Amino acid sequence: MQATLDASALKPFTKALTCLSRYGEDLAIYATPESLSLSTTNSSKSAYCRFKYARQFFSKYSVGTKDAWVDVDEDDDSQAVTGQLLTKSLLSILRHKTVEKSVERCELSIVEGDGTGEDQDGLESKLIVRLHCKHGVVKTHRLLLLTLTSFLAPGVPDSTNESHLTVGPRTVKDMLEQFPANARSDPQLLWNFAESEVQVKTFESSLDAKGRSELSTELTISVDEFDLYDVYSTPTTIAFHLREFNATIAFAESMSLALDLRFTDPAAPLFIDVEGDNADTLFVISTSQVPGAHVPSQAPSNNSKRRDREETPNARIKKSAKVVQRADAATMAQVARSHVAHATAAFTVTPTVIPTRTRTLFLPASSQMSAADEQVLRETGLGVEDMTAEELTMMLEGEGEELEEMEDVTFAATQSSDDQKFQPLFED
Amino acid sequence: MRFRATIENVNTFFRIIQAIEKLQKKCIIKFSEEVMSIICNSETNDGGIQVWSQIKVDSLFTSYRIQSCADNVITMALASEALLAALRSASQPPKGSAYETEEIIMKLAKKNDHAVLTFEIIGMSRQGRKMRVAHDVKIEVLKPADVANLKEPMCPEPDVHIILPPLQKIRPIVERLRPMSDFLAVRANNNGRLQLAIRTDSVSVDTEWRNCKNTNQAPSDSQNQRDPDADEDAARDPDQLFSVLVSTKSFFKFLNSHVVSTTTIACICQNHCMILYVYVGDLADAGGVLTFYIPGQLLDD
Repeated sequence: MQATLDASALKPFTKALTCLSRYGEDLAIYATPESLSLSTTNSSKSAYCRFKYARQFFSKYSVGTKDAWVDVDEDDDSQAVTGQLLTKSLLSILRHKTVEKSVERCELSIVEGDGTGEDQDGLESKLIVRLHCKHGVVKTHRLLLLTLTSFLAPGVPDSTNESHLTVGPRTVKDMLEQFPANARSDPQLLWNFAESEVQVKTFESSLDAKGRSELSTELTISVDEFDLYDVYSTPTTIAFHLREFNATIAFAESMSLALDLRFTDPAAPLFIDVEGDNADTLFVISTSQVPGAHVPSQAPSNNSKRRDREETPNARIKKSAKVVQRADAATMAQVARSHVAHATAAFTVTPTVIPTRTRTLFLPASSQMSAADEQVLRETGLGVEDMTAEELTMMLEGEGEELEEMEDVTFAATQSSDDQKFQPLFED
Repeated sequence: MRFRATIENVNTFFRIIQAIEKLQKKCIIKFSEEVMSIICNSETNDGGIQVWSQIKVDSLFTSYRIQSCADNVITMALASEALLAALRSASQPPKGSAYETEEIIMKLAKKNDHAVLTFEIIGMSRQGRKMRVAHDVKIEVLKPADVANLKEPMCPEPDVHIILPPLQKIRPIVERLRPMSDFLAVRANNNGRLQLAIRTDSVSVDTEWRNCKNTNQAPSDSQNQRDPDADEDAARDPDQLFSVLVSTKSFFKFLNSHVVSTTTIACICQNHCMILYVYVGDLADAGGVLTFYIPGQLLDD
């Protein structure tokens, strides 16, 4: 992959990296001939951020050469170049104080390891950052690029009961400024969208540290502050953590772009779109269970998501705790001990896909497991929380399924709250 | 028990709390009909520093209404950080951003079975629409027995009263001294000389200010009755330096009140303690004064 950014494109690019660094530590690069995507997920898999740049964003852009390997998962079989590295490695290069003043253009290229030469491991590639500065100075940085092990991506939400809001970044920032920001804590806020006003207040779930409960803040503003206010059914209440949301707002404000928020029911994640010139960004933040909140009723399979562009399979996965999911052999072992989560979201992508259904066995209020265990369970993305003991054994003893074999399976018929039988996707 | 007031001068209120927030996690505020007292008297404070302050309610509030069984006095303990955050939001940084506050109402309320001090801020958003923010600071109302135990420290009559140079000027110096020594000697004489000194095995630093003003009188505080016996003072050698050794950290924390001080008078009781009167607003008005008590440290040498 080769991409060249001129000085004016470098600024938003760097801002995007700053935002990505606030979401997660690892940066996943996914380059196709049409666009370059940079994405990351936070450590608890409750927030995801993806920046997609169309080829027009760059002054020069090309992906794929005769030697490049073909990415197996691309739907349309075109060549895609992928890699992963620590966001801060790239960010520290581009954020260097001399960059703004002297860089005229920046060339990014991904050179894949070809098994020959000094590299021990032929599969390792490098991201080369070449900064062409004034006075003929060229600074070259070579960063080791790890292979993208699993590409986590959220599914597109169902739109029947979707609420859609658009708001300017300044407005949201002004609102959130009223809430005391604590460097060490990551508070959650509860948003109540009513007919004529929106109420935001500090939200403490029982799991939050007690220190913060000294002060609680509530803000009420008119819905007129929003450029677009289309709530499916009022009142709707959602709650989520501020940390990543603040990163998104900072990005939108620095680019003077509006935030497009979409959410469905309170348990589903919050989707935020920020659209710019030739750049399209998506943020997904998982929401927390709000005790006593009004949950509009809906069919169980509503939250199945399908990401069309990404290399994920046509999986239909039910709600689970995480914004993104990944299952691998290691986490399966921990499954037995975990439980309940108060964060919710649903997407998946992984070699192994397991259908789940509406909350069944483990109710959020259940005290069967501790919060930490909860987390672990959710992290597996296996939907164990929704299984019976039998299903669990079957899953643990069965073998992983292959991605390629998955067809367009719709689980709707097999999924109902009453049906507790586990329907494996494939027979081994 | 009822309490309600409109905060007129939120910036000053904010700065007062800013001055003492770093001293102690939880502070005590006593509201009476005429005076608001802020007390930080925890034994665990650095260097034993204590703050007892009195602010006339008229200088900060309007529509002040208080009612209680204890002579219309309400004493509460609350987290200073929380109060500071609420006031910060109410005073809104003058960045020209966000909104302008139209009204700030502070009142005692009960939320979720817990007593809180609510700050209700009615303001305008950037686009000119009404915006309402409410902060609830959890408080603990003190029992009358505990209130009776609150007593300002007793000090002997100070040996010297001197008006300190602007605290902003002293602060950077003490900031430098802090990592070098845990103890700081503060000396002053009746001839306008002020000295700050540290002495350790590796380093000794002396800083001196001259031409400071002395004063014979301390603020008319019922706790510190002093009789300004001019004759007695004249008999003493005006050049004699009176000193006290204090914890550098505690002195530095006192210097946080630079955000609010107009005039500060330091009173030294030789080898015993130091009392600092930080005036909020005009000296003449005596709208409010923060009184810092810093005990002297006794070293073996």
